[in-house]
Amino acid sequence: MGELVRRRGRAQLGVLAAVLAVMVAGSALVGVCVLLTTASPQRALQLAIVHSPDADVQVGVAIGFPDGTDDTDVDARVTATAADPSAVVAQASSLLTGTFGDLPTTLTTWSSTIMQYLPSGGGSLRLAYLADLGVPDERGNLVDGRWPTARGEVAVPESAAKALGLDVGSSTTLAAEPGDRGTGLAVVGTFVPRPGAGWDEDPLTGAGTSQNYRGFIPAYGPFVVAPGGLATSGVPFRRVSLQVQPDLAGASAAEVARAGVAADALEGALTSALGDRAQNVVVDLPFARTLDGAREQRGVTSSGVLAVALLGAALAATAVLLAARMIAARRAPEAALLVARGASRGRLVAQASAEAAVLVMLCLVPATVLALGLFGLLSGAVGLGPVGIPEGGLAPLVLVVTAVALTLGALLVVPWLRSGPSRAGREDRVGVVARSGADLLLLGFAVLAYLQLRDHGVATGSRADPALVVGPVLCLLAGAALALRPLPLLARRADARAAAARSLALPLAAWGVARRPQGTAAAFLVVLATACATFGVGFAATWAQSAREQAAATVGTDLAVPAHVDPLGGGAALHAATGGRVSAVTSRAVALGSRAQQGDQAVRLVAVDTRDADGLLRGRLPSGGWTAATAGLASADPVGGVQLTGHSAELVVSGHVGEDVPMNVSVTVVLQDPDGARAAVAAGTVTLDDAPHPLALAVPSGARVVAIDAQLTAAGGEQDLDHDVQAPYVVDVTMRDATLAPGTWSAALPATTDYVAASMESVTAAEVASGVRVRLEGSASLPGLFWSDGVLTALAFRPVDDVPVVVSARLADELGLAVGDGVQLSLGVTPVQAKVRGVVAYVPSQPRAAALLADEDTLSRAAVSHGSLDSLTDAWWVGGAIPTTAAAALEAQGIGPVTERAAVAHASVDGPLRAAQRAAIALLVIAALALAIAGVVLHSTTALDAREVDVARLRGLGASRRTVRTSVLAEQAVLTGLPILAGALLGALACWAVGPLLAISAEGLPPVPSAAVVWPWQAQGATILALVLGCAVVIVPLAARAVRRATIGRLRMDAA
Amino acid sequence: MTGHLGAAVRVRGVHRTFGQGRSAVHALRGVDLDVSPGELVALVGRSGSGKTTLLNLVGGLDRPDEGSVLVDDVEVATLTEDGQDELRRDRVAFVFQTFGLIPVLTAAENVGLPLRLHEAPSPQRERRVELLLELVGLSDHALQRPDELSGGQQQRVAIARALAASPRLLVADEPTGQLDSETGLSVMALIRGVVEAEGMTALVATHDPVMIALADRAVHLVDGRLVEDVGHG
Repeated sequence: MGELVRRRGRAQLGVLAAVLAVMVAGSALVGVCVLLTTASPQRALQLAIVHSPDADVQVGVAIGFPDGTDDTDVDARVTATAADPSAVVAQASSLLTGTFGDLPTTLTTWSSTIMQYLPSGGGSLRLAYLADLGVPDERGNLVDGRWPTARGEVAVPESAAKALGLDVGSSTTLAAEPGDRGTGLAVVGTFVPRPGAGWDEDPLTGAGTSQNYRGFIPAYGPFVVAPGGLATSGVPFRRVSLQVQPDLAGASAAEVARAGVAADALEGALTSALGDRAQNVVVDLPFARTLDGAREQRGVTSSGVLAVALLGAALAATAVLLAARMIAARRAPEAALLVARGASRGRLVAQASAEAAVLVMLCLVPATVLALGLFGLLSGAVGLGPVGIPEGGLAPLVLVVTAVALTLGALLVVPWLRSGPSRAGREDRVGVVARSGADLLLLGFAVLAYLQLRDHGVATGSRADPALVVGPVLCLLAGAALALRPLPLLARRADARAAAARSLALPLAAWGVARRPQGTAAAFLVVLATACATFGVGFAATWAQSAREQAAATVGTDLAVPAHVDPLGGGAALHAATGGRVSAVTSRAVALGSRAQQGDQAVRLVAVDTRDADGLLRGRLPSGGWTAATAGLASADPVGGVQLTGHSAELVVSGHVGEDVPMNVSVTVVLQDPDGARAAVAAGTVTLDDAPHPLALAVPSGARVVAIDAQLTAAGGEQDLDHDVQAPYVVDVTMRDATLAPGTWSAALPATTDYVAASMESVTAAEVASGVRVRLEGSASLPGLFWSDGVLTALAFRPVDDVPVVVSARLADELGLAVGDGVQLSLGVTPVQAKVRGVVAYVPSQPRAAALLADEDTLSRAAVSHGSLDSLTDAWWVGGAIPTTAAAALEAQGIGPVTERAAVAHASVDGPLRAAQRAAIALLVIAALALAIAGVVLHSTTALDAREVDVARLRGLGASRRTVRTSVLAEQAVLTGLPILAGALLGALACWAVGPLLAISAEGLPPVPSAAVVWPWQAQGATILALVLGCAVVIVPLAARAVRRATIGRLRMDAA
Repeated sequence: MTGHLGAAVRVRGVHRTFGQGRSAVHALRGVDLDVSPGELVALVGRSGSGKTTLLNLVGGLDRPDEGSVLVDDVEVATLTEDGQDELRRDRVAFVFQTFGLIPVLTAAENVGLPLRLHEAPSPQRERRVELLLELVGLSDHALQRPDELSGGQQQRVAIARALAASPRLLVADEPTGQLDSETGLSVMALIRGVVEAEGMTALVATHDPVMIALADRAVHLVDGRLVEDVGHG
């Protein structure tokens, strides 16, 4: 038997070589996919982590202590630690740095004390606190003086210094209780916080001042002490933050993996180590989150790659089955002879098995080598290279290649297992029923898979998702099976038309197509391969476009940077660097009515300049653009104000109070820079004694005063007054060298629910000889002014009560909001009424959040109208064509971190964690084309060999070569062309129906915005053209050969 | 070997050799043959004697190395490929030992093939096919494919197909070679009948004595030479 197999193998070397090539290609394709899901994720994870921004790979912990030391419920150990936290700091530092093993790390600390009382000077109570910034130079820029170096020395934020009347050389005290002597502090420097230098750790987030700390009391700080000086200050610690920044530049994949494992366990370790010595321990693990995100992306990518592997395996199996049928058909006479001479079917199966085993053995080494080569090539092409032998060794690859080769080899034996030969030309009834049943079963599974994909919410984390892996494969297989169903009907119609035709060539082709069912397997392969290729091309484009749209929706604009602590003037630098359209942006969590949730459940407020929303906002809406969606959000009323000149403004404040009541006024102006950013700047505190008091403040170029806040405080003592008094007052704020912008001045909306210690009855603005004077007039209530400040705000615009907003569909669903509904949102402690003007699919930069979108100017006016002077500028957005060098230039200027839509999109599409998917899809397209052509080779070679006798007979009847060639080519063109057409249509259908369901986000969630089908006509055209040309290159020479060989010799052989 | 004026087939000094050198096979060595119009000539000889080669030369399926082959006064040996195709399409029809039917076509479609080569109008073709199938006694089998017919029926279809385009010369190569004697006899009778009925010339290679007896004349090929003209009954 072995001799027979050997000799027959030599005789049919060409066909067997083709089968071997298909087995090698199929095994290698699956092998590459396995490498892409096992070896490349480690490398991708390493690259993703190494190239992540520094802030995304830190680990940190914040250790909190009670606000006061007199709380008897607080454990004594906590109180002791608050007084001296050095032990817990050392322990926490060790755990944090240990996360990264031997990798270099940098530890930074930020410590602050509980609030203490500043001297009141007869006025209202004011709080301040001390802080140790670790390395102060890295946290702030000195404006004046120096950083403290000795005990008792402090540096103060410039804004706090101005508000408190402090300067370098002045001194103050901090006391645990109001009126205590407290600890003396000498101011040795003033500074401005450095953007992005961790000021979110600060109780006042770097603002330096807050008029409503915790909603009721002014607070100032931090008063920065010398490094290490907090422990000797005698003031208990309120909070200690530790952050470890690893240097991952040289980290290997294994070191990253080990750090990941350690990070996963860090929270538990820190909590258990510190929990009983602190009031609360908040562990912040950006590194772990980044790693989790990367793992999720890896899971999503793995799903895609495994789906490709399954499709590739299905294609290879189909090709091998086709080859097996062709070989069996070719050997049918030999088998019949052997059976006639007494050979059992088992012997035939054994012969086929032996031959298949030899092919499997021959397949293993080249398939493994090819898989490794392709893996290296693809890894390099998609930016994952250089990749050597996987860390896990070659065993998994060899195992998978062997399994696939064995499976394909087993398929070669399948035709020999049939109990009897089928009659050529007419399929037996059992076969038809079985095939129909299999098709129906496949269709049922495909429908289930489609429904599963459609309702698919969240992927299964870091591992491949079975629905994403199996779904597309089942849909394409079922589609290919169904696509073949109409072909016989078409063929029968062609058959019927052929009967009535006069000529021979085309009718003969039609008869060949209609009556030679051997082409079904080849047609199935071509349909499936074409569908895989076109679906691959279409899905890749759909997925990439969806990833770009998700990136756009996530960033919200073309370029975004967080705002400086002092936002004024920030837009100018951005405009200079980018040339784009700049908008100040509010982006924060807000309380909405009674809903005040955190994290993913928080309601997010985004406010931007909506006057040209399409020029600024990015992210596709299901219909229409952002300009249409945000129409009506911007206020049509102009903003007036006082236009300042130069970079400094000189204010002269004067005024008087009736009834001889001593009174001070603290003046704060709300400035608006040319880019629309607004910020309150404290000008200073003066006595209302009719004397002019000059105050100076630095302003950005082109700034305009759009509101003036005057805070009246009673001087002297409550005991000086023995009866209630309504004291009329006049406060004049004159701005030198300024001009009055057209507009209306008015008083802010009264806070109707609060006690009013002072009211403003009129506000007027007029140009005077020295500039512009704004006069505030009204009355103050005494003795109420001793208990509560009288806050008066003059506005250079009409007060805004309702803020029009559009809400995200999620928020509308969750709260049942509809157009026209009103909701109250809280900006800090300031309530603002919002009115729903529309519902959008999502809000830019908050694609998944329950969110509101407002106009920044309108929101700001509403906030100031309600007496809130806190800056609303949380970020800057820039829309337009951003130069590629802009981000680097901005970050070099200390503006940042910069988030670029294009960069985020690039990372989403071309980043290392998604690279494997792109590689796998490219591989699928190539493999599909190759296997389709291989199938055509196998089928055409066998079919045309068998046709040579018929061709010779036709020639014997006098048919010309041209007639016969035309007939043969037409038949092959239909047998190949129709499946290609059907496959392309199936690919398009799958792309339309399944593609958007597979284009899930990197986190494994449905994309926002929903994925839209992209059908790249050029790429699809090139794919189909390549397939058609590839098939033509095979078929035309084979057809020509069949006609050429149809000579007298063939007739003689037939006769023999 | 006797010359006839106005012969349907005239073969003169034809040589045909396959292969070269030591392995060369001399299939025909200077054959001369004339077949008169309307004559049924049996070509007799053992396997390998050159019968099929001579038929292929007469039918324009092959070319002689030397000599001339005239069919209806047309020199077949010098015809171009298109000319040979035309000869087979218009003047000469073949009946093969293995029937030579196209397996995916029905009996009627096989018979209609030569008419399609002439692009005959469909109604005319169908009438002719019907007539021919009736002539060969297969009217009831028109829609059956070759694998659904017996050997004798297949050969009848082949004969009907050969007659479809009304050729002047019928060339049959062992037409009863794969048939049992009874079926073979009926096929031979059919050939004899249609030759007479259609007034065509026939050259039939055979070693069946019955066929030889039915022929007008029999010629004998031995090792590529026409050695004797066998008399007929």
